[in-house]
Amino acid sequence: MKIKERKREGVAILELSGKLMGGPDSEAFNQTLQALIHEGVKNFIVNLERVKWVNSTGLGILISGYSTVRKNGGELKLLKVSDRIENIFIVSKLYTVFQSYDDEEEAVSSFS
Amino acid sequence: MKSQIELRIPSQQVYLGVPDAVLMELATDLSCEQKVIDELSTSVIEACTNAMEHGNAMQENLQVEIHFHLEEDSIQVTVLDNGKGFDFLHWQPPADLMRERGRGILIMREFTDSLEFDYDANGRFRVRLTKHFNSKT
Repeated sequence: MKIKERKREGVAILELSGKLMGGPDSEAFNQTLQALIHEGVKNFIVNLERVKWVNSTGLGILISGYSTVRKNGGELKLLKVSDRIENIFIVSKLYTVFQSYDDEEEAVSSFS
Repeated sequence: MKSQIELRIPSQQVYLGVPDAVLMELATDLSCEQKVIDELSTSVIEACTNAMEHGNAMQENLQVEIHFHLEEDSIQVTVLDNGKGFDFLHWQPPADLMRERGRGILIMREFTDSLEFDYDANGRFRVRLTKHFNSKT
């Protein structure tokens, strides 16, 4: 998995690509979050458009990130979740936890 | 159309995409919805993840064996590892929604038409996942 980060209106947008499957991915994602939180960023959008697939370990990375961000008083939301990945969120009931958007502008403005 | 493909991958997560690639390639010639193949492939990735982590304890020299059995109206995928398996007769999904692990079996169960756990003649732990092309699961 690769992570590309940028900011828009104070919100960190993390664009993930490849396969989200735990192991080193977990450490890389957590380090990115921690560094941005250290900079003072509270709110995050994780763009999954270029993620080919997620396994249950990869879901754990997103859950861990969600908890970390919430503990720091912010929110973590998802952007452009594919049908394949959305289906996993539905069967695992995690769609009740993560807010998801198809449009970046709408996702960013949801924090204000 | 009946055929069988066998694959062996090292117990390293980087190879989890290989069975996915095989299924996606097979799907190009099958008359079924992409969702059916996506759900089967997601389940096979879960079975292989478990086989690597729990069965083979991520030992690179231990391989995960995967058999793809293509039938007229279904695909059955068998995943074998060298571990002891688990108490699948009494397995219950963990209740905590925010748990970071423990969703693999739930995903496999929800996304396949048939999910079986047993041991092969050599004592290897075996997971068999079946998906019909007209599956509505």
